[in-house]
Amino acid sequence: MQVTFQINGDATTFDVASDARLVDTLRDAGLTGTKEGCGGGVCGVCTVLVDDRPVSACLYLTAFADGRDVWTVEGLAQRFPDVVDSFCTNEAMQCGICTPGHVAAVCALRLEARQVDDAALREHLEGNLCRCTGYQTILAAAREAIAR
Amino acid sequence: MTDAPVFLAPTTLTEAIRAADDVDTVVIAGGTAMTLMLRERLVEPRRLLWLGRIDELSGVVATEAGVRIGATTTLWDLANDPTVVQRHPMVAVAARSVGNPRVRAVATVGGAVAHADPRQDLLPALLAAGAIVHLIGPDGPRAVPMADGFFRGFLETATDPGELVDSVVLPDAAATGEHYVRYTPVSDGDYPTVSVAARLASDGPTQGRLTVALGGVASAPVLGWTQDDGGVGSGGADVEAVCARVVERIAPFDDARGSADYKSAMAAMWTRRVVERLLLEAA
Repeated sequence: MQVTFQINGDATTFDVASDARLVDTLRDAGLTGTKEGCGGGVCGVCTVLVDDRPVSACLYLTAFADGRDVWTVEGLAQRFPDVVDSFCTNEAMQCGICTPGHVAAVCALRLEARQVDDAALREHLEGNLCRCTGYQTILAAAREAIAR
Repeated sequence: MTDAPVFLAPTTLTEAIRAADDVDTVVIAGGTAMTLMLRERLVEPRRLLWLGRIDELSGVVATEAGVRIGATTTLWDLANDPTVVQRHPMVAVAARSVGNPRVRAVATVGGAVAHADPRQDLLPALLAAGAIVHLIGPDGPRAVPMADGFFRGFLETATDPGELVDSVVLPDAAATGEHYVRYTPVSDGDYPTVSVAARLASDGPTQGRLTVALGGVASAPVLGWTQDDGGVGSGGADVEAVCARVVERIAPFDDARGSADYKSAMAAMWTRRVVERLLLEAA
C-alpha cells in the first residue's frame, strides 16, 4: 500500500506492507538514527515524533502515519541543534544507543513549549532507558535543553 | 510467510460496522498490542480494520448517564481529562500507570477493553468504577456492564464477531474514596504482578459499600468484592474477611512475575492496604 507523510519536513511516499512498522520503514529509507531495541515499546530507542508527540516506532504501523508529520532524530538534530549541544556538553551518553531516543523525547518538550518541573520531566523520560549513564547527565542535559 | 493483510481505514462508524462483518478481520486502534501479535504471527488476518480515522469514536464527554469515553480515546488523553481526573481519579491513575508516555499516546481505551489482557492496568479500575461497555454491530447497539460477564476468559470478552467497542461509560456514583495500586517487582513500565482497584461509598452510620477489582491474578480481571457481599467497616465485614474473599475468587497462575501462591499473598496484602486506607479516609 502507498503511505504518504511528512518526514523531517518533506512529503514522502512509501510503498509498504500494511503491517509494516514505522521503525522498519524509516530504517529501510536510510534514517538509521532511529534504532530498534526491545521491539515492544519499553526501551525508547525507537522514539520518533508523530504530530509532535513521542511514539515508539516499533509499535506503530507505517500505515497509521498517512497524512501525518513525522520527525526522526536526523531532522530534529537540524531543527534543535542546541538540544544536541546540551547532550554533548553534559556528556549525557556513553555507548550512545539510547541517545537518539532521548534527544527526540526532549525535542517533544521543546515543541510542546510546556514548562515542566523535575517530576514531570522524569515522567516524560520514564520510558527511555539507559544502561550506561545512571541518568543524571541525561537529566542535566534535558533540564538545560528545555530551559532554552 | 503469508501476504500482508488488506488495510481498511474507514472514516465513519457506519462504514466500520459494515467492514467488521467478516470473520477474518482483526480490528486495530492504537496498535500497541496488535502490532506485537501481528509480528509474532499470533494473528494472521486477511484484513486489518483500523479505527484511527473515525473522529466520532474519540473523546471524553460528560453525559446524563455518566462520563462517556469513546473507544479510540488514548490512555494519555484519558489520564489527563479534567472530568475523569476529578470524578474517577482511580481510572486516571490506572491509565497513567500503563507503560510509558509513548505507549499512552497511542494505546486506546477501546483497545484495552476489547483485548482484555488481564494484566492491563486500566481494566480493574474500569471494573471497580462500574463501567458499562457500549458495543455496536450489524444488529445495532447494546450495553454490557463490565461486572456482568463482559470478561469471558483470557483475551475473551462478550463482544460478538462483527461487533466493535463504541465507548465505555462510567456512571456517576458518589464515593468517599477510590484508589488504584499496582505492584511489580520488575521495572515500573512492566505489567503489574498484582493490581488492585477499590472504591468505597460510605454515608455516616451505614456500613461502607465496597467494590474491589484485581488485575494479573486470573485469566481475566476479577471482581474480588462487590456491594452484594455486604457492608464493610464497623458493624460489617472486616478487612481480613474482604482479603479472604478476594483470595477465594482469584485464580492466579505461575509465570515470570511470580508463582500462584506468591500472587495470592500479594493480592491479599495489597487489598488489605488499599481497603485499610479507604476505611481510614472515610472515618
